[in-house]
Parts: sequence; structure tokens; C-alpha cells
Amino acid sequence: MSAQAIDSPSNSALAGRLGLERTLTLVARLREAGILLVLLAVVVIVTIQAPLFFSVSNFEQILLNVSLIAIVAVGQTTVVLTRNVDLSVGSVVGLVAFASGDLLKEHTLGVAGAIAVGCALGLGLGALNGLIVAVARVPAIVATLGTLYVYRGLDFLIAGGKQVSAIDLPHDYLGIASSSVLGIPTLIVAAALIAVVAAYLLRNSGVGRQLYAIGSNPAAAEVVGIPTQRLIFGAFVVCGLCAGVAGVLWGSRFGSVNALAASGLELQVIAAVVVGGVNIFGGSGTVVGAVLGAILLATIENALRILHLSEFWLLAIDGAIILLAVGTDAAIRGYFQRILVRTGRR
Amino acid sequence: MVGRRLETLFPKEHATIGEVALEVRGLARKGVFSDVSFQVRHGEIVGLAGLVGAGRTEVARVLFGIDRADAGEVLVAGKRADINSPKDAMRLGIVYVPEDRHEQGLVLDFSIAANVSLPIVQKLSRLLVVDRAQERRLAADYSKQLQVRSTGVDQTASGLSGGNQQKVVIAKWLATRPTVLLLDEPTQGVDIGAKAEVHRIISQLAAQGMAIVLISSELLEVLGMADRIVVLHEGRVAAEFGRDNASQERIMAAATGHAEA
Amino acid sequence: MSTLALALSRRWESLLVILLVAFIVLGSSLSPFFLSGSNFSDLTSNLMEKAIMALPLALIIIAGEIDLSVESMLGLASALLGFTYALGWPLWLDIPLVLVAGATGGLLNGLLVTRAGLPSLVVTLGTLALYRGLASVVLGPRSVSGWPQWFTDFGFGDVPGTLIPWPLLVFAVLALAFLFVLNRTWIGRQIYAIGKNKEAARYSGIDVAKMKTFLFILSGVLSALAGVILTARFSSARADNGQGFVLDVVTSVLLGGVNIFGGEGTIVGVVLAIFVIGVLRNGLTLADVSPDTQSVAVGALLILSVAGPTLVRRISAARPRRQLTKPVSNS
Repeated sequence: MSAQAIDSPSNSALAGRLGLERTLTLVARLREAGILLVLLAVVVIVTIQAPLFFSVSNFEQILLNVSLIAIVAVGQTTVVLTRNVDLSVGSVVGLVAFASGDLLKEHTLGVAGAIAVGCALGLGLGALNGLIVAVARVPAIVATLGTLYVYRGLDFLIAGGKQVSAIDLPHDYLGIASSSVLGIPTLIVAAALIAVVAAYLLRNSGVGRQLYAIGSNPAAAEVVGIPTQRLIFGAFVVCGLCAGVAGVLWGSRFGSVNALAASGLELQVIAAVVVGGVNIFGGSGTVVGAVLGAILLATIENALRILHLSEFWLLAIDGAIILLAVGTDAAIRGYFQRILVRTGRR
Repeated sequence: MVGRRLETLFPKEHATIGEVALEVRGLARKGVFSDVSFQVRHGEIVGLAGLVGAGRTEVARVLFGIDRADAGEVLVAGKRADINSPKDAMRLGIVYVPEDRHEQGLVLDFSIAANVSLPIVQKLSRLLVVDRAQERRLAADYSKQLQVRSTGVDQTASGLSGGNQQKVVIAKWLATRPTVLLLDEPTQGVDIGAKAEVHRIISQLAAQGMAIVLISSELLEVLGMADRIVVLHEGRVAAEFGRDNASQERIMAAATGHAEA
Repeated sequence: MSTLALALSRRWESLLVILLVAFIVLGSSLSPFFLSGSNFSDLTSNLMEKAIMALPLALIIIAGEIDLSVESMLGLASALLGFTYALGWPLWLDIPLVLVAGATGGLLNGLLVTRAGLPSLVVTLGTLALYRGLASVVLGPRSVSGWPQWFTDFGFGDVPGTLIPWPLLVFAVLALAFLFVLNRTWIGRQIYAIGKNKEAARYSGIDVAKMKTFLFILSGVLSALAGVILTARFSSARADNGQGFVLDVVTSVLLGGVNIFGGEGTIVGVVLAIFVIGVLRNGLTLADVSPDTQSVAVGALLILSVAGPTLVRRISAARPRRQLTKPVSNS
């Protein structure tokens, strides 16, 4: 007959866990502060080398470049929080950009219609991802690796080698990206709005908290009665919608779109999200962090250009940053876990 | 059942106690256990008692090289040992039969033969190729010795009963010819008939000169099998008893932190 | 392997054979050139680099990890080969150097996964970007040509007197070696153990970290070899060589019956899947479908090869319940 201890491992683990979560929120805040510090450092260093860097117009350029990636990053954050990933975002953006541009070029639809179709397309593609992951239970890497190529392939199919050029598009459409609201470019306002809404919902709504719970411990979330599969499906739909919005805006911003548009965007977005402190294991991270991460990466990109360093370094830097960021996160997490174990018990 | 002094279901065999095979001095792992010291001699069964979470499995994991100690030393046959991995432990003759046989003890998808040979599969190979015939012979021999009930050494481990699975785990470690056997709750989840058989096996191994550490939460099992009992309480050694002066009350007292002077 | 796993593998491999035959029939109906010898040569030569990379990836996935960086390692190898050759260094020096670079890249993957404990998905996603980025830093947008005759003959030509392309011979030898290692050696046994139950493998004295690192290094070397072969075949070293290969390579492995969660899979299945994809692409090419659009089919195959068994399992798990509602006879 075995005896059960009052201070059983499950109880002390729970206490340790609560401590861990509170600590991680602190870490998230620290992380956001950290990114801002690095951002500041980069700005200072680069300005010393090239004073041109420090100007309103240059910063506006940076933020314009960031806005599209930031929108996609918001959607990606939602997915990554649930311990999944969406590798197909680049293909979705490209496909939506081309499709909406083509619809406008062929005068099939007006601007409002094209935007609606673009967003609906993004939503639909996201839903397909969600079906494959949540219903068919295909691991997200495999599912979205597959759809990355399926969606891009479809893009090539409908594009058939042609492209949409700026001249083909109505001024109203192109105007979206070049217009401003109260002096601030529309794109930046749109990105900021989406980020703020998403950040608020994730932090304060029940659904948001459930998403964090799913990422933290999927099994426990199921046991507690959270509809995990439905929420994961929803996360992919949101991600697709964000990519769809970004796709519509992409077409407006760049005018010329061919089947290769937004290739490789997924790596930039994941790098931003990961740098921003969103844990690839799910369960922690913030939209604010992801957006800050995107801003940091765009700043580095801009700095490279201004300093006349080869742009070929960009992809390598994105890759190195993903490795560094995830590595540092794992180290920090491990460090805090060890401290908690040692202080939790004699 | 608690409160009465019962013999084990199978009488303990007499074993000649020999030299110290394993000595643990001041072993510590921050936040888990500290200042743990005990000795195990050849032919001796040392019971490691205590409540769940007292640190017994953690000590075993350090001895087997899964975890690292922060302080203290381990001596094997009198010589200081540096155990950084299960491979190191195996080389020194220390093996560990884990508490969770499904997650840690067996590859349920593998056959009995493949499970038994797993720790020594490299040794059973010539020019990289696994000697399947020798592997099956080995498994068959141990199966017979431990009376594993199966449809043959090719049967998948998942198809065996808990007791037989446990025997396969023990067999796999016996095949490495160990000197020190660390057993962690070896009869947990095992039916009463197989329990007696496992006890018989443990007794026999001790009689053959093996040094055995028996971690168990079942007081009767510990009282019946062990020559000496070390009781841990919240990571520290609370008491040590010989077979003759141990009792359920005294073990429980020590395990809950109320050790007598 | 347990007898049940063996039976399931055989069934999967039979399905693949049926699929292969079906695609061959489809292909020959789409085009009269399909069944010609020169088409077979074309088909296989387009396939061999991906095929060579699929072999170590199969072992990696069986061991419970993944390596997405293979195509970028191929590109980096091609870029390094071109770079060193353009510097005037002889090929007998360049090629081993490139293979060493491949090993180093694999080692980085391995260390990040085993020492830093990072998930291989993220690590190899990062190195997918990093290695491709380094390739474009090394070679930029240019391409290097002007290779010696023997080199281009190796990449493009057949073994003298036969219709067998040299790369096919290389692949065949490698495939046999991998088949041997996985099925008959202690290395294969440890890989399956790690894949089926990492904890039990560790508790059985297996050095899981060492084995996984070895597999990543192997993947790096063979990806670099594939890069050398591709450069020879195209007679051109470019930083973007192999872009998009990761789809076919991963699909070959998963379609080949290797379980994405690890612990199961055979080399025979993977080889069959490689040719299924090859025949599919070849047929579509003859039907004037562009390679990028072909990826729709391959991507769909990837998803189906993982979704299919899961759905089948869930349907068959749902069925027996109907039988249980039958009244049980009293004894």
C-alpha cells in the first residue's frame, strides 16, 4: 500500500507553473523593452555612419515597408500561439495580390468588389489550412508546406506568365497605399489598427486566453473543455484573412504583380514573430512584440541599404535572427525554470 | 494489511553479503535532494523508502547518468566514478529499471528480442550487422530464466501483460551483465502472481552476488525484501534501518519527517 | 520492426506501386514520347538530386526530427563550388571542400537541435534561410560555367555503354547502402528506437544526441553532393540552384510511408515515392504544365499522404461501434 504525499509532485509543479507564467509575462514585457533598446541602438549606430538615416521620410519608408509584414505577422502570431505555424502566408499574399489586381485589370469588379473578393479569398485559403490541420489532423508544418506550394502553383496557373501592371489598375485602388489619414499614410494606420485590435482581443477576450491555453498545454486545454480544434481552425482563418488584407494592400502598394509576388515573405514574417518574443512552442508572446520585431527587421533592412551593404545579406540575416531569437528564448526559459525548481524545493 | 508484520509472498533467499559495490557520499542535486549517503554491498538488497516525491527516483537517475549531481561523489568498487550518461553507468555495471516501463523501459512497438538486445545492440553486431540469431537466443534464454509468458521472442512488447513486460525490462538489463541493479517500483501495476515471481528473481539475483537498490513505496515489499532500508524525506536521508529493527511504523515515521533520535 | 509495422509497410508500398503504374499509364496516354528511353533518361536525371537528399531525410524523420534546409545546402554547395572554381582552384580540391561545408552545415543543425534543444522545424527553417542567404552572399546573382568536360559528362551523361545516367548510379548505390543500414545494422535499430520512443532509447543507453547529430551531418553532406551533381548537370553554378526542391524531397519521404511523427518508414517506400513524383512531374511536363503549376499536384500529394492515413484511421475507429450495439448472447 503506497502513501500519497500532501506535497505531491503535481501540486508543487502547479505552483511552479503559476510562478513560471507570471515570470514569462514579465519576460514578455522585458522582451518588448529589449527590442526597443536594440532598435534604439541600431538607429544610433547607423545615424552616426549615415545621417541621412535619421529623417521623418526615411522612418516613414521603414514603417511603410513594415506595415504589410506587420499585418501578416498579426495573423501568424495568432497561429503560433496555438503551437502551430503557417508557412503558406507568402503564397496567400501573392495569390490575393494577383487575383484582385487581375479582377480590376479585366474590369470584372470595382475596387470595393476586388477588395472584398481578396479578403474573402484570404479567408478561404486560411480556412482550407485550418481544415487540413484541425480536421484532418495533419501537422501544421506539413500542411502549410504543402499549401505554400499549392497556393503558389495556383497563382502560376491563373497568372500563366502574364502580370498585372500599375497602368492596368484604377487610381482609386493604387491610391489606397499612397494616401494618408491625418498626415499618416493609410497603410501604417491600417496596420496599426489591425495590430491594436488583435492585441486587445488576444489579451482581454476569453477566446484570446483560450488560444494561449491551447499553446501552453493542448492536452490540458482539451480536458478543461476548450474547443481546441475549432479554435485552431479559427486561428488559421484569421491568419488567412490577415494575409488576404495584406495581399490587397500589396497590389495597391506595388502596382505590378506577377506570380512571384511575396515569395519568401513567410520567412520574413516568421523571423519578425520569433524576434518579437512569440514562443514557437506556443502559449506565450504578444502581437505588440511581433510588430516590434517586424519594425526591427525592417530597420535593419533599411540600414543595410543606406550603408550600401549588399542586400544579399538580408536572407542570411533573417535566418540567423530566427536561430538567435529562438535560441535565446529557449535559454531564458530554461534559466527561469531552473531557478524556480531550486527555490521551490529545499 | 498495514499494521501486521507479514512475510513477503515469497521467502527471501539467503545471500552472502560481500564487498561494497556502490557507495554514495553526500550526493546532492539542488532543489531535489541533498547529502544523500549510503552503501550497497554485493549480495545485498538496500530498500530506498519514502513518500512519493521524496527524491528516490531522482537519486537513481543521477546514479544512472540521466541527471547530473551538483555535489557529492559516487564510488564503484571503491573507485571514484564520473557518471555523465547512461552509457557511463552501464560501463561501470550500474543499470536502472525505470518506474515507467511504457515511457522509459520498453519500446512497445519492438519485439521482445529487439527490446532485450537494445542496450547492447552495437555489441551484438559484426561489421555493423546485427546478429539476429544471437539476439533471439539471448532473448529466449532470459525469457526462460525469468519465465516470461509470451508467444515467442518475436512477439511485440505491447501485447504482453504488465508483469511480463516488467520481466522483459529486467531481462534487457541482465543481458548487460551488471553489478549494480537499481529497481524503481518494479512491481507497480503487476498482478499478484507476477509480483511473487519478480520478488523471486530479485532474491535470486542477490544470491548470485548482485548489489541491488530497491525503490519502493510498498512498505511490505521493502520490509520483506530488503537487508537494509534507507528512508528519504524531502530529499534527505531521514533514517536507516537494518532488516531486524525495521517496522512499518518506524519507516512511516521517518518518511513523514518524524524520525526518532 | 514489429510484425504489424512490417505488414502495414508492405501494404503502403503496394499502394505506391499501384500509384506508380497508374501514373505511368496516365502519362503514356497523355503523350507518345512518354515510354521512350530518352524520356526515361530525362525523367530520372531530373530526379536524382532530390532523390539523393530524400535518403538521409527519411532517416531524420524516422528519428523524429526534420530537415527543411536541404535545398538551401544544395544551393550553398553549388555557390561555393562555383566561387572556388572561378577563383581558379582545381575541382579535385573544390568538391571535397564543398562536401566539408555540407557537413559543417549539417553539424550546425545537429548541434542546435541536440545541444540547444531547439525544435528541428524552427532550426532548419532558419538554416533554410541562412544557407540560401549565404549562397547569394558568396556568388551573388552571377552564374559560373566553363566546367571541364569530365565534370559535365558526369552530371549529364550516361555510364558508357548503357542508358544509365551517372547520377542514377550514384543514387542506386546510396539507396542500397541506406537500405542496408536501416534494415540490418545496429544504427538502423537505434534510429527506429529513437523514433518510436526517445525516452526509452535514452534510458537504454543510446546516445540520442550523437545519433541525431550524425544524421544531420549526413543530410548536409548528401545535400552538398546533390549540389555538385546539379551544378554538373546544368553546367552552371548558381546561388538559386535547387530552389523549391524541399517540396519534392519532403513529399517523397512522407508519401513513401515514413511517419511524420517518427518511428516508422522504409527506404523501399521512399524510393517508390521518389519515382511516383518523378513520373507525375514528367507526365505533366509533357502535357505542357509548367513546373510551378505541377507543384499544386505535388503539394496536394504531400498533404494527402499524411491526411489520408489519419482519416482512414478515424473512420475505421468509428466503425466497430455499430457492432457493439448488437445484443450479446447469454451463456
